[in-house]
Formats: sequence, C-alpha cells, structure tokens
Amino acid sequence: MRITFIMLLFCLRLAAQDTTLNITGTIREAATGKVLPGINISIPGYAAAITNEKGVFRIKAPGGNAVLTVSAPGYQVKEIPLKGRRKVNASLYEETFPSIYEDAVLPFGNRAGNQLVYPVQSVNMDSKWQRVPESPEAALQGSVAGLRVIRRSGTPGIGAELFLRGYTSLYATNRPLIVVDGMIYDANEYGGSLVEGHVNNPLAHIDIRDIDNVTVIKDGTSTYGSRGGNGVILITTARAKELATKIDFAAYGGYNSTPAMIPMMKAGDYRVYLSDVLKTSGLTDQQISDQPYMNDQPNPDYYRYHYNTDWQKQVMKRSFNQQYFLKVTGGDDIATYALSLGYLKQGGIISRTDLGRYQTRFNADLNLSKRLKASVNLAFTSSQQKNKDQGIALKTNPIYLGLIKAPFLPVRAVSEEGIESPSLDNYDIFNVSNPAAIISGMQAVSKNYRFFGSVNFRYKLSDDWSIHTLLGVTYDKVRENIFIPQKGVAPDTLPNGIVYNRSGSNVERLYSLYNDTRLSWQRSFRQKHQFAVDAGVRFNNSSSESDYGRGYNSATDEFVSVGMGQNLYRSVSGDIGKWNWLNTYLHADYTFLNRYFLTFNIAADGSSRFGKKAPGAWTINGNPFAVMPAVAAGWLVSSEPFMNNVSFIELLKLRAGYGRTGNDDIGNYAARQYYVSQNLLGMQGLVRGNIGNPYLKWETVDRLNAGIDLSFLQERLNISLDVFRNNTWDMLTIEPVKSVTGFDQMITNNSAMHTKGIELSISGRIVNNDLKWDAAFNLATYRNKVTKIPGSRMISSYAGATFLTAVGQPANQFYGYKTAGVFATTDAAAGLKYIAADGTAMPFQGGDVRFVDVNGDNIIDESDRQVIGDPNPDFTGMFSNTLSWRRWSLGVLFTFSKGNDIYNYMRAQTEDLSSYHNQSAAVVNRWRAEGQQTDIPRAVWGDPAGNARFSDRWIEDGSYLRLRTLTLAYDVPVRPGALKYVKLYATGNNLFTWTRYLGYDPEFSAAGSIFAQGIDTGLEPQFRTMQLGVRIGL
Amino acid sequence: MKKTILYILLVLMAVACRKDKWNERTGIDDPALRSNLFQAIQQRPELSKFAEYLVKTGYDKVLASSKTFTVFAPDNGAWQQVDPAILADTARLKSLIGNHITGQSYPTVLTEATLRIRALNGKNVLFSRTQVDDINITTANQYSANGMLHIIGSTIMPKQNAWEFLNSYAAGTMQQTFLQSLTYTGIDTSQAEQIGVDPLTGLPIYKPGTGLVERNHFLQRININSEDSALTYIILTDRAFMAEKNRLIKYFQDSTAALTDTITRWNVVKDLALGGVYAASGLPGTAYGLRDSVVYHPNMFTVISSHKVSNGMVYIVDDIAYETASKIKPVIIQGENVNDVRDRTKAWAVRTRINPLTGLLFRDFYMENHGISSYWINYMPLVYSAKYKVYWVAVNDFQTATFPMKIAFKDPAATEFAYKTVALRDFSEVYLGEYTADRYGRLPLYLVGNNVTTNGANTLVLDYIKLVPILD
Repeated sequence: MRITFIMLLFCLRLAAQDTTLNITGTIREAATGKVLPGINISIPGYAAAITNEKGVFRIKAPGGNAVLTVSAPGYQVKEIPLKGRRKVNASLYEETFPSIYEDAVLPFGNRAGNQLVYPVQSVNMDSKWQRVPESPEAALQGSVAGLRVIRRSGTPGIGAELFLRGYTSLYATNRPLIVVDGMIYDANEYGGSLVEGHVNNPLAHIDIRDIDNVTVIKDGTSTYGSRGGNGVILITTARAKELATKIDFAAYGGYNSTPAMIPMMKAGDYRVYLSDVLKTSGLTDQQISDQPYMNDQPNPDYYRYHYNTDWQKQVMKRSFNQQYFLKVTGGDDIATYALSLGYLKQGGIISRTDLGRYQTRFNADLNLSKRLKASVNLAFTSSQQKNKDQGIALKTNPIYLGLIKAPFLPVRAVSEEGIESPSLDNYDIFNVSNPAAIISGMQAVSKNYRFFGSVNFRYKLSDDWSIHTLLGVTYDKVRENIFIPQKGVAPDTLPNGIVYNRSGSNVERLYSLYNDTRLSWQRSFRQKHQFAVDAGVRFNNSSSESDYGRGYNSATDEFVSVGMGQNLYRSVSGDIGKWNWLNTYLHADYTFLNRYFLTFNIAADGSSRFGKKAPGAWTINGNPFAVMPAVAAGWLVSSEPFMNNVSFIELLKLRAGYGRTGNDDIGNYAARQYYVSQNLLGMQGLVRGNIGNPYLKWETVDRLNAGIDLSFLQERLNISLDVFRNNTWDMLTIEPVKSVTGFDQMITNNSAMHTKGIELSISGRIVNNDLKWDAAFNLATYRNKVTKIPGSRMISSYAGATFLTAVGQPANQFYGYKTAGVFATTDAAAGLKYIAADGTAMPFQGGDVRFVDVNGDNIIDESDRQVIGDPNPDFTGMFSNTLSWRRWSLGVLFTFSKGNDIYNYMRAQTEDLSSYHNQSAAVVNRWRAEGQQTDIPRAVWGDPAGNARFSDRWIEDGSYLRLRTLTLAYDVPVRPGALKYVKLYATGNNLFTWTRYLGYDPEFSAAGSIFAQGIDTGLEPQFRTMQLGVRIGL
Repeated sequence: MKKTILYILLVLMAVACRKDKWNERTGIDDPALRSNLFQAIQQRPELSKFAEYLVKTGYDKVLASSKTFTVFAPDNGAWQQVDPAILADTARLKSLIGNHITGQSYPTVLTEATLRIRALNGKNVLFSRTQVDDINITTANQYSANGMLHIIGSTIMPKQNAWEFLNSYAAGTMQQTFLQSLTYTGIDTSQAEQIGVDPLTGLPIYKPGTGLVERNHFLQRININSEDSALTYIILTDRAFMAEKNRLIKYFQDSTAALTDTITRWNVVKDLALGGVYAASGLPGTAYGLRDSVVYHPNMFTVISSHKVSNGMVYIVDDIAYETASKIKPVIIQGENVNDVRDRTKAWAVRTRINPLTGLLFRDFYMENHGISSYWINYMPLVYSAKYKVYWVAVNDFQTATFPMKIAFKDPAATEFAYKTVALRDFSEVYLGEYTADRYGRLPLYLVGNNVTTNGANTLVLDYIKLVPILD
C-alpha cells in the first residue's frame, strides 16, 4: 500500500513537469478526403475545440502525452495521441465503421476500445433490422472469436449452446454469464420440457432489434466471482439517443424451406432388405411369404402394403414467418424513453410447429435532480410455441419416424378396394407410429412469460464520487401441455402397463431478485493519472419450482388433460430450488499517460450452494467465501513518442492478465443431505436422496491471457491476437462410491483440467470510396486436457455413444471400436469372435464388420475400444464482408467449423441392418454373398455380432462452411415529409452449407453437457430462411 | 456484379456438393447389385435356355419383382436331357421351372449340413453347401439386387411325395385301395360362401356346394401328402398286407366280419409311416411309427424296392418286422378318468402323490365315507379281443385300517374277481387275475367297494388298472 502511494506521488511529480502546448491539425473524411467542418476536438476535462470550414482546429493540450478525442454526429469517435507532436491530422470514417476506438460496454461503464486491457469484444447489432428472427445468442454466431455458438436445433427460438474459449467444466455449466442492462439474466430452464428434445430458452424473450450492443468479456470477469468462470456477455438494450420523437416501424415476411432429404430406400429395395432380415430372424420361407406385405397376389391387404411413400416429405414442410416491430423513442430534458412492441410468428420445418411471440420493452432515463438520475428497464414477453417431439423419442419423433417408417405403407387408411379414407392410418404391423399422426395429432404447446425489469439510481455525491444501485426482478413462467394420441401412435410401455395415449402438464417458475449497489470514485490528476475505483455488493435471491404431471390412457383421444388419464398410471413430480448469492467486489483501474493501463479486480463470494466446510475458503460467521483476485495490464505502445514516425501503425497494444474466477453451478443442495419421496407399492415415504458433501465448493478457474492489438493504415487493417490458458481445479466430479453406502455416486471437487487456445481476429476496409467494402475474419482454437480425475479415467454415455475422459486427454472424446471394412468371406473372419448376449464367444461370419482387435486376443469386447473421434473442433471461425454503395448495402457472413467429429446417431439407426426400420439407400450395397467386397455389413435380425455398435462407422467429419447470413438493404429515396426513410431488406439465413456430413445438418446440440456434444439425435435440422422486410421511419 | 456471379457459382457448387456426398454411398459400385435376378440370368449366355423358359412360364416377372429369391439355374446343356414332352406341356414346364426357384436368398454358407427349402411349385428341394437335390452346384453365390443365383449342371425334376407315389405306384394295391377308401368330402368354412346366420343357433349358413374339399381320414392323422414332412413310408405288397392282416385280425374281433375286416385293415396301415428319412443303404435297427410309436426293425425288412420322394423315402416291403407288444399295447385305465359312478351325488377326490418306487408324480381316484355298500365306479377302456393279465395300483396311505375292493367286467355284480384287500402303503402293481375280452372295443370295467356301509371300511382308491395282453 505504501509503495503504491510513493509511486503515485512520483508519477504526480513527473506529470507536473509538463507544460501547455498549442496543437493544430486538419480533419478529413476518410472515404473522400474532403475536409470536415464542425468536428468536435476535446481533451476531456481540459479543453475543447471545433474544426472550421477548412477542417482545421486549434486546441491547447496539457503536454505531449495528451490524447485528443475527435467526434461528430455521423462519424466515428477517434483518439489521437499527440506523442509530442504539435500538428496532427486525422481522417474519420462514418459512424457505422467498426472502429478500434469504439466504446465497449463494461460492467462499470463504457471504455474506449483502444484502452481495453482485457480480451473484450463488442458487437454492435448494426444488421439487427435486417436479420431473420433469431434468439440473441444464436445471432451472435460468428461475431466473436472464441465464442463457439452451437444452435441447439432449427426450432424457432430454441437458442444455442455457448462455449466461450472451450470448456472449463465437466458437469457444471459452461455457459457464460449473461447480464442484461446491468442485471444478471437467468438463462437456465428450471425443470425440463415435457416435449422431447425441446428447451424453453429464456433468451428467446429478447428481440435482437431491442439490442444496442453485446459485449463479450472473455477474461477479466473476476468481479462476478463464482459466476464469472465462463466469461460474461453483457447485453445493452436500446435507449433513446436523441430527444426528438422517432418512430420506426418494420414488417417482415419470410419463407423457410426444408433441407435436402436423406436418401432412403424405396419400397422395392426395402422389401428385398426386409426379406433378408426376416430370413435371419428364424422365420421360414413360408412364413415370410405369408406376410401381407410380401403378397403380390390380389388380397384384401394388397393396397395397404403397396404404396411408395416418402415419409420425410410427410413430416417436413416449408413454412412461413411474419414479424412486426414498432419502436418509439424520444423525450425531453427530464426524461427520455424507448418503447418497443413486437409480434412474431415463426414457422418450423417440422410440419405444424411454430413460435408466436408478443414482446414489449420500455426503457426510460430520468434526470430526477442535478445529482440523482434514474433509469428504468422493463420487458415483458409472452410466447406460445407449438412443438413436436424430437431427438431420442423413438415412437414419437416425427423426423426419426419419417426415416424408419416402411415406405410401402400409406399415410391414410386404405380400404380393401384401395380407396383412401380421410383419416390417417394407424401404427403399422412393425409397431411403428404413423409420422403423419404425430404431426396432426400430437399437441405440445409451451406458453412462456417473462418479466424482466430493473430500476437503476445514480447519485452523484461529488465530482469524483457517486453511488449506484440497481434493483431488479425476474419473473418467469413456462406452462406446457402435451398430448400424444392413441390413434396412429404405437403404444408405449411403462413399468406397470401398456399405455396408448399420453398427456402431460408442466409448470416451471422462476422468481429472482437482484441488487447491485456500488460506490464509485473517478479522478484524473493533471491529465496524466486516471483512477476509477468501484466497490460494491451484488445480491441475488432466486427461487424456482417445477411441477409436472403425466397421465396415460384417457378414454378417447378427445380427453387430452392429465386428469382424464387412468389413476393407475398417473404420475406427478417436480422440483424446487432456492439459492442466494452474495458477491462483494472491488474494481480499480489506473491509467498513466493515457498509455499505461493497470486493472485490479477482486471479489469475495458467498453462496447458499457452498458446503459449510469448504476447504480453503475464507469464512465469515461459518459461511465460506470464495476470494477471486485478478490483475491485468496494458501498454499502448503506439502512443509512445518513439512511435511518432511510424505513421502506418495506428495502434499497437500489448495486454496481459491473470485472474481467478469460479463456477457456482454445483447444485443448490448437493452440499447438503436431502431426502426424496419414494413410492413403494403404493406407499409413500422419504428416502435419502444423496450423500451430502459439506466440503463441496465452487470450481475454480484460473485464467491467464495475453494479447496484442494492432491497427494499420488509419484503421484500414486491424488485427487482434490472444492466447489464453484456463486452469480449472476443484472441478466437480461425479465420483462412484462403494455400494454399501446405498448410492452409486457422490459429488466432489476432485478433478482438474486446463484449456488453452488462440484467437485471431482480422478486419479491415478493403475498398474505401463510393463503394465501401469491409471484410472481417476470425479464427479460434482451443485444446483441452484433463489433468486429474478419480481413477484417472471415466466413461460416460449418451444416446449409445460413449465418451472417454482420461488424464492427459481432452475431456470428451468418442470412445468406441475402430473398423476395417467388412469380412468378404466367412473364412476371412475365422478366429475372430464376439461375445454374444448370453455371454458365449461366437465367431464372426462373412458380412460382419471387421472390428480392430486392439489387444490381439481374437475376441472383440470392451477392451478393444479406442478413441475414435473428438467432438471438439480444430478451429472455428467466421468470414464476413459488408459492401455498401450509395443506397445499397450487402452483408455476407460465413461461419465455419473444422475438424469436429459427429456421431451420426440417426444414421446408426437407419443403417443398423437389423430391424424392420427402413434403411438409407446405401444399404442396397450391403453384403449378400461370400466374396462380395463392400463396406456395408450383412442384414441380420437383432444384430448378434454387434455390427451396429458404437464404432467409427458412425463417426463423421462435422466440418462445415456455412453461408450463414446474406443481407441486402436498399434505402429508398423519399421526399422529406411524413416519412423520414423507407428501407427495404432481403435476407437469407443458413443459405448454403458445405459439409461432408451425411445427416440433415452438422450443427445441433442435444443437451448443454459436454458429454452430449456432437451427437445427432434427430433434432429439427437447421433450415434455410429467406426474408423480405421493410422499415419505415416516421 | 462480379460478386453476384461468384455467389451464383457458389450456390451451384453447394447444390452439387450436397448430392455428391450421398452419391458416394448410395451409388451401386457392384455391378451385380444393379440387376435383378432375371436380368442377371439374361446376362449369362449359358443360361439362355433357362431364361427362355422363365419368360414362357411367366416366372420372369416374378424374378424381376421386389421379392427375394434363390434360383438354381440349370445351364443350357442340362435341358437336352429333359424329356421334350415336359417342355411342350406348359403346366409341367411351369412346375419344372418353379422347382428351380425358391423364396429368400440362400447362400451356400450354411450352418446346417442340409436345408430343405420350398420351391415356388410347392415342392421342397434339399440344399447343401455343394449340392441341391444331389445335383452339384457349378457356380455358387451369384448375388443380385433381389436374391441369389446358383448354376447347376442338370435340371431338378419335381419329385412325387409319398402320397402321390403311393397313388401312382403299381404295387401295393390293397393298401392303396384301402387308404383311398378313407377319402371323403368335407367342408372348409374358410372357403365356403356364407349366405346367412341360423336364427336359432347363431351358426353361419353356407351356400350349398361351396367350400367342399376332399379329405382323407388317414391323411388327417398322418399327412404323408405334406411336403414339409420328413418320413419313411412303407408300402406293403398285397401278399404282405394279407399276411399282416391275418396276423392281427384276432385282436380286432368285432360284431360283424366286415367290421372286423375294416378295423384290422386300418390297424395294418395306420402305423406304416416312420419318423425320419432312412436311406436304403443304411436302414436302422430300430425306427418308430409316427402314429403310435410302434417299434420297427427296418434292417430286418424284406425290401423289394426303395424310392426317393419329395418328403422322404418310400419302401416297397414284402415283410415287415416290428414288436407286436408295441402295436398291441397294454391298456392302462387311470383311476381319475371316471366314466360313471354309482351315486353321482357323492363327492370324490383326485389326489396328486409321488410314487416312492418311481419317484414320479401320479394322480389317483379317492373316495371315502360315502355310506353306500358295494359302491362302484365305471370305466370304459378300449380293449383288443385278447386275454389279459389284470393289475391295479391302489395306495392306501391315508388310514391305518385296510379295506377290500374288487374289479368286475361288464356288470358290477360280476364275480370273476374276488374282493382283495388293499395293503397299506403299497405303491406296486398288484396282480389280480386274468380276463379274456371277446371283442375289440369299449369294455365296461367296474371298481367295486366293500359291501358294507361302514366309514373307513368301504373306501375306494385307485391309481390305475392295467390290462396286459397275453400275446402268442
């Protein structure tokens, strides 16, 4: 402390030696070279000037280290470090230019881009008016190097998984903390959707047109303590920028087209396949010939079994979108406001699914007194979504059924004479549901509401001191009702009976109170030393509840509610959670000579989730607190006097930081012992639900970052490069325990891993005249390595895939069998055996898959598994171009992912060659006779040799390059009057995808866990949307 | 503008890419899989004759359909050995061609030594790893889009089954005539046309003359006409048939000579189908009749000729050898299979016990405290006209006092057999005496209780009565 003070004094003394300088210069427009009059030049807190008609200004500066800030309406903000010069010239780009000087929104106020010491990327939602409806996190895809956005599926509003700089945790969340207008936005779903494969995404409540800025803070999040471990995304919603009333109205219409269908076998090939399979099932030739679908002679069933239906076309249909959006901003000296209203109806490509949403947002800023200012942010959204089951719902997922359903069956019931009935056909002879019956009969409606509002007061105690407090409330409710009819749907089996129709009802509630109060001090000493210190407390109190009931076997399909089902099968369950978080923080920024930056952050976090005996924690009153310090420094080399003559370098900045953050997603009650209700033969009782671990603590993530920012040729070329390393320790582990405990596992902090990576962003203006061409490119890569885990390896599974997590290797690698083709003859397979279901070793035959026998014991079993793939990409990134020419502008954004492997679960189902399910057209090439050379194994009922087991046959390269968005905008010339402007937009989303992946689309996420990544479980694929829009300014 | 063109190009590339990646997988690299079976046959010059006959018989369309088949295609040389009369007769040619095609795909890799598979003409062919119906496969496992092609050096002539053989063969006319006489006309309700419902009984009424089918009492019991059976059938020469009849006639004496004759003939023919297919070279020492497990000694037969049929073997035999005791079997009357009782208002019990001598479970008839003197139970066993040794098994394991019982034939008051005391806990067969049945047929047999009304002294218990014929 004393040393700091002495240094401070020394600095002050140094600064005092400077003298006042007179500075002159000329400001020009970058595109045309014309001089610009009326431009503001300022040295904040010291002097200000304005350019004359020749673009020339004259200003006094406190010394050679001063920095001029240049700004004007319609132009970028720019800083000019004097570097001892008396005469400086500069050229300005237009306002929308992605400038390095642009302010980034930070938790404690804005900061100019060239002064940032942390890897922070600010995204201005410039194209928000043109985009197709997307939830905000999905719209971020590609914008930020190192933020891997994986859209969960094509379902409207379902959002995306966010992985910032790879993974920091195995079992806790990897999602960055999302903060909207200063208040933590709880983006979790509490309780699960009753609709298989669906996620109720709270972020879908935010309309991207309401967003002004998104700032992704990749590091430097220590003030968020145990919630900052995955980085922070700050979202700032739109506020009034001017007092004049401004009205924007926009209307859009869009068209969604179905993806390319997967080639499946037609009825003829399928029937040949079917007889091959049936023959191996033990049926005699006669029994096979007696099957109704094998009988080509006139018979009562002839018509029913002689169709050639393309079932995929029955479940996926093109659809349409419409959106209306109204925004009014304005106000006076006392108050300004921004009000927006929106309506959205967005179709999915699973037939008869859509999302409807009404949203309102009201933001106001009030000058209550000279010292007291307030702002209000209120948002209320209501949405209603019609869904269908997706993913692993083998009897009710229409996409899956559309692939496996026998093509010779009809959509509608058919009479003996071949006349089609208007009613749909029932489930079939193979016990497969009619996909069309799911489409028309299954009801799955989610009704979601969210209120998210806050009031923020700022009281200015003096010029240096101010106090801020924000109080906000989140209230969220999800209501879901589902009904799966009996008609056309294969019955399901419960432990206690067979069920024909199914209903469900679900309510999820979240109530959360948030307060952030802080004291701020800002001071500049002699234009040389700038201090900004914030100390505060954040408090978050949340309670969630989810209740659901499931009913079965109502009397008819007209009775769709849970209460109508049979008492015997009805089940009711739910979940409840309450937790508190108290975060005290201190943030201090110091800037010296406008070019040396130092930041210190520290937080001490208490949480109701932490175990009382958490080791290594500070305790206050027996409550453990997590202490998270961080420090970072930056050096703006380009502002040094010795860089005076290097005029082609606009900016050169070096940054480095080290910080500790945490992850508190360890479960509300995992540290305590709790009881759960149990039903034993109709009697209710309580049993222990876990082994409470009082030593349970947060996961700690230590983040190390170094970066360089470069800008050349008056910002024509900008490069930013970051390297990072995140060390996670005390990482949450689900540890197996001895069976005498009565439990399988307990939760401990017993593993560790690290993730390191590189991020590169390059942007620039390639053409700068009447035609402006901006291009941007970013690339990010990470490598993950587990350094500690109980037992040194762990195997987890999801959807038939197994993941290996082992010390020294990435956390979630696909772990299965390697294959080397198919045995052409039985002789070739001689000697090699597999373990049959009854435990005996059986020999492989001709036509079986040649699995690699790793240990050479001639038996293919679990010990022959090896790493066969990795769902983590080698690198991901984006490439974009923005062209504007007079009233036209064109934006093109490509996103790409390279080297990520996908387990194609859907193909594993449709090329398993062991069941009645229709198979992909490739199965025509299956092995049929001795000596046949092929890659597709033989068809055999039940797959005794495990040819379809989890192997590299199903692992595919998931690399893709996608033309993510293409937007064309035209500003229609209008005579000034009632209309201020009319803008026309044409937009395409997901226009083209180049990939070798054989599924519908390579981008999906079945669940947020890292142990569910890269598994294609048959979710609604990404689809192409084309949209036309008009925006009218009044 | 250039950009637009570039993007159009990219679009075209994109569309092309999408197709390509699946084309690699769905494209059929193997030329054999591009053609169906008929096309595969057409492509082979050595099968041109076969292809020609396929077209002539309409099987070409069958083989081109989306069902799966195995074809045993005889090469062109094979057809020269075929009787031109068959080739000229469309029906016979169709049957012959159909005999070379089976449903499903059968490669020569078999886990079994041989497989009987059904050809499209309804006959079975015997398929092994190298042969089909003893014809060597010259080129095996030629797969195609919808099945398997094997090439063979000669045609597979459709074989008669045992029944067809019997009806067409010159020898054994007595056996043949008798079996044919068992044919009658029955009604198959699934083929009959229903014209209404009887208002009284609720049963369907069928249109007269519909659904009539020819049936045979013998075939309904032992279907030697079934292609799926595998049996050895014995045809007796007329001489052997008469000898056999004469040997058995004394056991089947009935009220009239005609009845006796018919029953005897039935009993001669009913056991002539043997389970299993036995080649002439390896007739076994013991084989069993399919109907009543009569024990035969085929190696002691006087075989006149042997014939391969589609469902097994047929032997023309001049003398058969079997164990008479396995044909004229002991008659066992189970105690619990009661036909009638003296007073039906009285209750009795059927017990389940373990016989400690055999360790097996048995059920017996048990009745006590009925309060009736000389209470009887009636049984109606089917007996041969023969002399029998009579035994019973009656277990008194429920009381310490013993009691007597007796048996009587035809009349409960008959006295050929005296009362005999049932010993305590006696699980063995107890010899009671001899009895001669004078006629083949149902014989009333009575178990008679003690002629007292005292509880405990007139108890009846019976596991079984056994009549063992005394054979010559």
